[in-house]
Amino acid sequence: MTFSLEGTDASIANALRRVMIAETPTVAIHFVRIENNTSPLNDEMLSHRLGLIPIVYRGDVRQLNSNRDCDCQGNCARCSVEFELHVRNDGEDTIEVTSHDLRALSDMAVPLDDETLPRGILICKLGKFQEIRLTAIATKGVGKEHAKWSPVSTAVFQYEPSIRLNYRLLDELSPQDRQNFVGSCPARVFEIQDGRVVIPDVYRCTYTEECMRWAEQVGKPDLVTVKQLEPPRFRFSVETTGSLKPAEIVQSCLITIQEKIRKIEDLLVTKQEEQQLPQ
Amino acid sequence: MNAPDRFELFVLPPDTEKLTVTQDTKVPNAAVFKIYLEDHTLGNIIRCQLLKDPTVIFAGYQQPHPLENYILVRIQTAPQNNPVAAFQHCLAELQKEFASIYSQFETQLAPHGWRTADERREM
Ligand SMILES: [Zn+2]
Repeated sequence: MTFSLEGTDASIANALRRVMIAETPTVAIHFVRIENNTSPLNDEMLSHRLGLIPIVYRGDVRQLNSNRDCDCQGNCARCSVEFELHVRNDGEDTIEVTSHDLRALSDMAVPLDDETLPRGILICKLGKFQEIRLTAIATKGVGKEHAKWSPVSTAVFQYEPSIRLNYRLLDELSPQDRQNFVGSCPARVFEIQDGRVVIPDVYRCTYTEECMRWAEQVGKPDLVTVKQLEPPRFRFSVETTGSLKPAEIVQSCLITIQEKIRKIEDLLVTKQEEQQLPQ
Repeated sequence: MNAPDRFELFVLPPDTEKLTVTQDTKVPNAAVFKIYLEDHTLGNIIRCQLLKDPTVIFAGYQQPHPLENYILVRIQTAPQNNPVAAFQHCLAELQKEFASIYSQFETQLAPHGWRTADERREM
């Protein structure tokens, strides 16, 4: 998903980006109890791979207790989801163990099942008579603690460039020079359509300023100017791992930031009363 | 081997407070706010918001050490204001800003065929 943000400054945009990556809660496998593992992968490697499988939680992840703060002993339904995995290869050919083999013990969560991944996510392969039998416990967490909880594969924003072409000077160029001008940009920002230089997508610009350098070399420094749009506009791209929808991540991250600020606001009020600070 | 435990990012160390306020004894109308378990995410938005306030003379933040999970926000204001009030005003403004982004984002979802988180769960 992409969206634009304007009427604010880079600090806000950056806070959104940082919270999406590091502080938006999701569910991921955190504890693994291995009963039998005769696969080529060792227990640690297997557990690590299980942790990285996106888990889709059917409900509001934010309402789930953190396992660390839950008042239960060990884990419970309010702070975790349990999974089971039992695969044994009794055939001659090597088989694949995938996320489809991971069976949820409650209907609150499932491993990511996406139509673009019909075979699921490969966990490991099993040779003849090899077996994996384990239970896994998924808990709530954030990317700050371990990247497996980060719901995004990409969360970036870009300043919208402002590119101004001087068409009067451009018309003075020979067709060959116009072609050279278009070719000067390594990011291919410019194209020629019906003999005119056009910009199909300003966001292709990577601020190399090669076009400005070219214009200076041919003695027409006013041919083109590239700068950041003022006031700034940001274009966000959010791509998820599948555990949450992009819109959910943006909403969740905005709630997280507001909660953080609310907490400090409240503490400041109590501090003021305690320390009799000037109002 | 000697890496700090990851949970230190979420759990307050014993005998510490999330927020402490220290008035500057040498400079009038100045104070340092020590906020535990926060980082550049909040530090930078607080600083940028404070700088928009004309009564704020100085606003800055730092995370003194990357392995210690707190930030320091220093505020100095003009005589007609004080750091605590300026900080409060700043937080209120930020709250408004994010609430506005949230509601605008929500109204933008439907025309693009996206459902809000709540609508999706009700399905
Ligand atoms: Zn529990």
